[in-house]
Amino acid sequence: MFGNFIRCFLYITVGIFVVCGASYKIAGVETVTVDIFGMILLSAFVTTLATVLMLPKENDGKVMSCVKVILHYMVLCVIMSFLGIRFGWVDFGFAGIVTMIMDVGLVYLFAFIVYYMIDRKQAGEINKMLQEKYGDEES
Amino acid sequence: MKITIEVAKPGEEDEIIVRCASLDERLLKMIQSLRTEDKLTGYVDDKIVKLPLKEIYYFEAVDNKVFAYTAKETFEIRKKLYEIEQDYEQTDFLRVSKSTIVNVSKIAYVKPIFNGRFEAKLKNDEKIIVSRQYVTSLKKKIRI
Repeated sequence: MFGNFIRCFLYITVGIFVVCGASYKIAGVETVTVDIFGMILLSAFVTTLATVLMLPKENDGKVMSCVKVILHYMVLCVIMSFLGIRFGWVDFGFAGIVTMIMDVGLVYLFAFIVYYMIDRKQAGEINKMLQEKYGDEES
Repeated sequence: MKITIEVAKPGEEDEIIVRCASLDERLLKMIQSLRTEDKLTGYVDDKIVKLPLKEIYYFEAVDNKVFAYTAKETFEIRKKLYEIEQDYEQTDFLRVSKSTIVNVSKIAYVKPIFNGRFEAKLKNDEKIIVSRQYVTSLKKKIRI
């Protein structure tokens, strides 16, 4: 559980850094204060907590998994909208909240891609080992 | 009693040789347990079947019962899943989720799926789910 939390925290933190960096670049912001690191880490911690608690569990069926993923995304949007307004990343208003929802989506996508790439690599290693050990055996 | 383990040459069948001055009861019991170890008692309809372990693809716990799946048939096993896990820990059987123990030698390949889990395609074309938490032990089991 702890290992899962740390891994998730790492991917989300990197994702938030990437999206923050891209957002500031697009907005033409040249310099940022050191405070940003603490804000990003706090955001990552809170969203990781929500992720570990809310993402689908092993026994959940397809429908329940989809429902949990959608709820999880909505909760992340609420958390990040609140924190984003608090930290001054976005303005309190329709445009600010839409921006934050899109940013959450980008971090979500980033984390999903990273997890999937790592899983594919693991699957490749396992399949290679399976072939080496049992490849000649008849079923 | 001295126990010696030798590595067989490639292609040689695994063999256990018992060298003794005379066969006493203790040795007879040991030999008997070795002979029956590679088979499991399965139940289907009203029949009792001795299932060779190497023919079992996976075990699954459903509604407080445990079933063994071979290439084409299903048998009920009168054991708990954790007992099967303990009994066959040193074989190719490995727990891959809360309710499934798979014969690793029957896995054709694995691939990642939604929600961080993996799907194992077996050599009889069935698919089972491998939970993320068991992936490390799967790698350990098949490491050469």
